[in-house]
Amino acid sequence: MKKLVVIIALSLSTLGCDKDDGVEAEGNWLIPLGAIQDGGPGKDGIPALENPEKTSETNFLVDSELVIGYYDGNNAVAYPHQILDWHEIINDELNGFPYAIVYCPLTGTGIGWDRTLNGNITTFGVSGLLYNNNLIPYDRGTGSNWSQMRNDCVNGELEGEEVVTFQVVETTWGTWKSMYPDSKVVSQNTGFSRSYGVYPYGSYRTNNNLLTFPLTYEDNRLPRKDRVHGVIINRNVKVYEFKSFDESNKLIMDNIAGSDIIIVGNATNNLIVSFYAALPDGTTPEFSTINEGRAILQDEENNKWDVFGYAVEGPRTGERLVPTKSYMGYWFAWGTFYPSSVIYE
Amino acid sequence: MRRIVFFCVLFIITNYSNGQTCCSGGVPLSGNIGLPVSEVGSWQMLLTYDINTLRTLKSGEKTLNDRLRERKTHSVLLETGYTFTSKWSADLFLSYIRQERHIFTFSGKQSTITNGVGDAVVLLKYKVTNEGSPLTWVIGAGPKIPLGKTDKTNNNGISLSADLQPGSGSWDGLLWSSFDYSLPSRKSMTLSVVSTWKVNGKNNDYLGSIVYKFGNEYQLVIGAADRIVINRMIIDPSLSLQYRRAGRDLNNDQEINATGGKWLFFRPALSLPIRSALSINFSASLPVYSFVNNTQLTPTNRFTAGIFFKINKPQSL
Repeated sequence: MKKLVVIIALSLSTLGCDKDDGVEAEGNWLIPLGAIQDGGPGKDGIPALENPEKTSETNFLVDSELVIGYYDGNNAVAYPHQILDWHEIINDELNGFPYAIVYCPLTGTGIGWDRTLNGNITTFGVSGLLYNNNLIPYDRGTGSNWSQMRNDCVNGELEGEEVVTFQVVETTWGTWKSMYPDSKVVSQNTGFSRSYGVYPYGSYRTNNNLLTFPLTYEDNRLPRKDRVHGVIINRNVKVYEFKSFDESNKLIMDNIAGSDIIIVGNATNNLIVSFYAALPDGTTPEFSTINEGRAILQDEENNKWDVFGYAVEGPRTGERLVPTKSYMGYWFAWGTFYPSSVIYE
Repeated sequence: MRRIVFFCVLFIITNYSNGQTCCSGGVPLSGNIGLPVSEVGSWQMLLTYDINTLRTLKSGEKTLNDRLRERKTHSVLLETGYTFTSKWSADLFLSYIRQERHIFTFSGKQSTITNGVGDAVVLLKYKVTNEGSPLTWVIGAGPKIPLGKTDKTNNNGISLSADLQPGSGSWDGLLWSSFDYSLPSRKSMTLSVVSTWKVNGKNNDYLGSIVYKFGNEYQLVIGAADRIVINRMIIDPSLSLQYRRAGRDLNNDQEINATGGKWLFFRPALSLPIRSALSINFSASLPVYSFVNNTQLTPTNRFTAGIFFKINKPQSL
């Protein structure tokens, strides 16, 4: 009997070794360690997609569901939320441009990231970590961890580096296909068996009482899950609500940190985009809104500009407005990451 | 006899230590609880090693073709019971838990493992039926005491998720009932119905500011056991069906979508009596049917091995 007790005690005493080789997170962090959480699935437990199959067969989409669209001036690709909800990151390439669509379902933020870091092309994966409920991607080249909403590397070899972002447009599939009828769409044939079309987070999108993890700071000026378009200029943030726009395209001219910008939105079409008011050559056209498919603006030179800022008609055809650094997201996330955010009124 | 005990314990230790190739969720308290009715003044002890593996990804009833993630919970469970009177007895249930999460990616396997003392249960039991009846009905109730840690972090100090913690952080209440019926035509054969209802309390300090509550749980086990002799060796085999139903977890009173469900398991078990007061037990738990809310990793299999012994009250001369 004594032997048995000794053996049990010895066995328990030698078993207490915690281990974690699932997250490369050693070293300094630029964000508070106490505000980082393990989301549950683990590193790569939510599998990022690599160059997924695109299709023109779009029966699996309904008009009201959200997509993140990318257009490079020639080709358009739609990345449905119903795919991104399950994978969060899609590493892709279009006409030689390596990029990733990086999407966090908990903060509702979808951003386009250039996959070239310090001259090296990489891919991004899901670290399984969250900061203030927001996705922390890692780059597979160096294993460094990045903050999606800050758009910078917060831990690892590339700490302090900023990622180069590019414009994507988040809107409904109905609006997107009306603007880009030839757009390809990431198909449900991803190589993974998932319940695409079934939202994995229940009432999370609309339930303002539901947050997964604590926030370091919360701004209650708007309901948590209000989707807003945030514009970042030199760390100054201003957010625009759908209620500021009408049922047809509406133009708002504003100024953030000394920069004149234009914001075009349409509450019915679930669309808000923003650009610097000045063209790259310094010209500042006088814009007005139009509702001609993807063309949403025209100017006094009779140029027509689309949602990605490309001049699609007129003497400046081929030129492009300069998009702001901006993306859609839930208000609570903007308020937490950028506590001095200004709400447009 | 000592050798047998030694090798059984060694078997437990070896599996536990090599458990890195092996996961699950939750401390298997209510699935194992409840020692048999015994003589007045006797002590009973059951030491069990339990390994619960979850690598089946399901959406509702549908099994998804995915082997990306695996969760294992290894538990060393020590249950001791004392019978006070012919009616009253009490069990104390202690646990030591090892939670493992493994991800299998193109770059290899990545693991996160935590260890620690798990939660405990005290169960006060009352025997409703009287001696001599072919039917034995015992009811019990007690608290689950949150001895286990819920603030385990990884090597870098980052908080791990609730399901990787060895404890739940909440005081829970258990109601337990066990019917055993010995067939008059075959005394060695027993039919049993055991039900456990666990009403979970709240962890008011999860991640500093979240009130987290695991979903309430109900289990019903219906089984039959018999004694057979093969080559002069006594064997007590049993077969049972276990139904388990768990509600959704709550985060600050808001339901978490991908938690909770219904499961039906087939449980073959074998008990080998070494002496009248000592036996070793083995059991498996294999899912027959399951329905999970939304998409979840769900149990793939579960195995236990245990040693049971009893110390009877010394007889006065």
